Amino acid sequence: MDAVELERVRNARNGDAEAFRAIVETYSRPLWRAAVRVLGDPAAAEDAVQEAFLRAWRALDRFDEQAELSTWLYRIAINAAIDHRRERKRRDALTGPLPEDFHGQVTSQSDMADPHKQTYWREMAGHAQEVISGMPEAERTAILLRHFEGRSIAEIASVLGGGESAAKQAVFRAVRKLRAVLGPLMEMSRGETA
Amino acid sequence: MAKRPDEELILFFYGEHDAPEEVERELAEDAELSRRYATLTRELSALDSLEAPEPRPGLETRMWARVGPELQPETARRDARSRWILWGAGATAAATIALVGFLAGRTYRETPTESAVVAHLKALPPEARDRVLQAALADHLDASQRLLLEVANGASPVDEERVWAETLLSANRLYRRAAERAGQHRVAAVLSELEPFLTQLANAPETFDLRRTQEQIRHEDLLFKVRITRNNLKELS
Repeated sequence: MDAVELERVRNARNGDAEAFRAIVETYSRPLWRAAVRVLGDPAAAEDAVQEAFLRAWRALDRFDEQAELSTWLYRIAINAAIDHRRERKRRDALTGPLPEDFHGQVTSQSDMADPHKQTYWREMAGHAQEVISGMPEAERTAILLRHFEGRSIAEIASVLGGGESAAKQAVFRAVRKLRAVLGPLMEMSRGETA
Repeated sequence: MAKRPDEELILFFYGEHDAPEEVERELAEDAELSRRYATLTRELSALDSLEAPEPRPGLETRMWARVGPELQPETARRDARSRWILWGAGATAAATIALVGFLAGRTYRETPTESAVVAHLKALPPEARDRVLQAALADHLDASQRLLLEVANGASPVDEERVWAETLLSANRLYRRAAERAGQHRVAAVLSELEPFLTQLANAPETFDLRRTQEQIRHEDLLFKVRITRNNLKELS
């Protein structure tokens, strides 16, 4: 953790709200991105991130200064998002679903100008989203953090609360599940276009 | 050449392999390995199409506007904790007595029976009855939420918290039964879930292992349920 961030943490711990404000402003966006991948709903992701910052504020005393602040905050945000997701599932059972998850929002692929390829990647992204949504929490968290957030295995282990070996296995299982669905679909489409 | 398992290729793909130079060399020399790696890369590239949407503009400002007012200076919070716990217990007891007294149409010195409370509750016009019950319940859930937060954040039950939990427990039982009889089944369900935690905390021994209780609070989403129910009640009342 760099000196500026460490000072912010120490000041925030002493009740300095402005120091915490700097932390909130620095991490709102990355935590929101992580939360929206778990929840699939931008508004719910904001709720989860708000909850995460409040949990972080209350737990600052227990933050280990040897650890990375970003990893610690990711862990809290993903847990808050998972809690939110569970709660939403229960609510859905009573009141019907909230806005649908985003599925396969296709962005920058180098060949996006080609409408056929765009459709192809959108379909693949939709299938990937479905697979990820159906994964157990540890695997979903592992693949989201490794693939989308570029977090290391060591950081994922810290978020999941297990060892590095368990984090690796969670990534492997997640990748295997994705490949089991995407591989045959890609093969099929290559066969069709051949 | 020993066959590299897919797991090693995944680690290499993510830049986590212990010996990346070796893998690179083998990829250059081994056509089969190179083909397998190309397939892995192609399949995982489908994930790159799955970009998250951008947040609405002003996320950082909006987030601080939501978080800032909820913060309490930590040091002040620590100093205030004991006073606050006592206030929580007192306020809950007062709210319970006020509700019971109000519903029973008696002074709080004459503790009414539960059936008298319910009879008076039923005798009120439906709107007034609901408002009274909702406001009192919202206060009760507010106090319960604060106690759960203390425990979830690692505070061991000390004497003051045990007294607080005992007070909340008696109030909880009364409210749950009143809610059941008044047909507020969802509220009654949340109160039923809350009751075992309050019982545990009220009866916590000196050497109380918090971890199981914290895990239960987390696993059962109790804080979310209490918060949502409280918010709904406050909006209604």
